[in-house]
Amino acid sequence: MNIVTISNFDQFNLIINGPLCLSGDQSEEIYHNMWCIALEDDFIESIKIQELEHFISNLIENREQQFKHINYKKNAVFYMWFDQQALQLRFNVITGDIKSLPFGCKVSLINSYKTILNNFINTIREVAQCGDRIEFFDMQDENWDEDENEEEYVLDVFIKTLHRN
Amino acid sequence: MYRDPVTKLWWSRDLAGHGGSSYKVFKEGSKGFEWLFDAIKDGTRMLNKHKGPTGVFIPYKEVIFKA
Repeated sequence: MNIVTISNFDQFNLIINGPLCLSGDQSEEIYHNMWCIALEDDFIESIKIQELEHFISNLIENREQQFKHINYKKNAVFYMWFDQQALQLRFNVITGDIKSLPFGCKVSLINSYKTILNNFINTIREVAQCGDRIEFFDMQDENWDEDENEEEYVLDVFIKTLHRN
Repeated sequence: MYRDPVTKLWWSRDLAGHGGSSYKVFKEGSKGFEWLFDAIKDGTRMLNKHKGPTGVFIPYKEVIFKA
């Protein structure tokens, strides 16, 4: 996966023009196609939601063009989500369809990426101003990563099928 | 979050679990917790391609400590 912290608009082009790899090997596709995007503190305050939407619109359009040029025989999907733990906007392109999404949690598919972008911007601005609420565990507790009473985590994911025509 | 006493890094269960990731790993910095990488079940770091400066800081302010 590609990890980047954005501090100006020009850096979005690096992501938009990034290569697309489709092989049917999901690990390989994640390595090449997945991006984890964080924003610099100053940029968090200055960027507008409309500018972020414009970036995603261009990104999807370019991935569709790349998909057409590859002339790949199988279906492929673009999907995007907000990783609230890493405070990153993440997206990926893989071979397959909705059933192929490699998440370990329950997924809620949403039709518009605007919801995800709003959640991303609002959360990182709130954290930048007020901090996050983090739960800490006793270092001696061997079951620190298990919580039977915890509610099932549901992640909002935007998905877009890439078309050849 | 759990602090590894040897590496001093903080480990959290990965809620999304994308691509086989089981944990998220952070380090403490002057500004807060900085996300470092995602790790699979045995603690191995997932393969990354670095494109530039990384790191997202979670300020210490309002952090809840639980015994």
